[in-house]
Amino acid sequence: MPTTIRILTPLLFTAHLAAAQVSVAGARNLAFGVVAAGVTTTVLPTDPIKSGQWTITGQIGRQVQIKLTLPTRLNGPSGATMPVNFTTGDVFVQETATGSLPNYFNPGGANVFRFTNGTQAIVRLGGRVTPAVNQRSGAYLNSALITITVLN
Amino acid sequence: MARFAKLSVFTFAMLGAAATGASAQSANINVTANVYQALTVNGANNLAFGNVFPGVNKTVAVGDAAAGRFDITGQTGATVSLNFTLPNSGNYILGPSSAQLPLNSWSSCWNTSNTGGSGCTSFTTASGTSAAAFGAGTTLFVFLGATAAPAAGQTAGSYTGQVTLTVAYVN
Repeated sequence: MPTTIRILTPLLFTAHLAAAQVSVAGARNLAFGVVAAGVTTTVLPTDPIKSGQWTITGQIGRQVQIKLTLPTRLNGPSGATMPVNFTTGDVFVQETATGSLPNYFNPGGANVFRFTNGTQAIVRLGGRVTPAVNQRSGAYLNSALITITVLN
Repeated sequence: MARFAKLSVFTFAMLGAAATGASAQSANINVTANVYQALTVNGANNLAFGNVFPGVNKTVAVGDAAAGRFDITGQTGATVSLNFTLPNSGNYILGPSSAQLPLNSWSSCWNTSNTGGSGCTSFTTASGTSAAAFGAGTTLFVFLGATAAPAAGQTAGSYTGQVTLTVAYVN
């Protein structure tokens, strides 16, 4: 008895498993260190030790928006607070590839950045604190948030 | 009689719908500072050579009553740097008709007690120090000495100069 076996094999199609297109991680805190009461203290974003830093990883050609959410004060002992502020010149993004230049942007706005020379970039943050003459001594703290949104 | 048996095998392979990663990523860092009380510096005692005689050197040591002294208040346990600015780069002070009285062999030390003697930590006057510490208290004392070397024909009269001490917290 003849037996027919049909094997229907439809088109196999695959879709690429897309890993996260971009990732970001905190690399270093913004650390003003010792601050004397009554003395405004500034950390430049170029400071290799004290400046805050995030690392962004993506694909060459990928375009992202960088947005920072920054504190206006640091919180200290017994409810004390100390003003902290950030202005243009306090933050830049720079690819880690050799020869890449820093691109400074307004920390209060959103910056568009494209990976052109490599797959990694850093965002560096400086700023200044303005302790009062009678600022309470002790440790002060707050946090800074970076949000990276993929544009294309 | 022919019988046909059909066996149909449908093979579907549908691999991997696009798993889109999140279009936005966020990360936090901390912003930190450690506030110390303000520093105050007071010139408490002049470095006073008193009467000196032409051709005769006179030394005031840091432990002498005539030594210069600065009193500093600041944060308990903090470390500070000390840097002097000496008159005419420490070479002389001026007197009548711009006469110069040569100075040399500057000496300095810091202490948490008000004495330039026992327990006073010496440091090079010209280069300062970054290791003076308040310890358990809030006061530091800095002492200064030197040698006046009047020439044999030194013009008689009063000679004076100014020494500035700059103090800063060390991170």
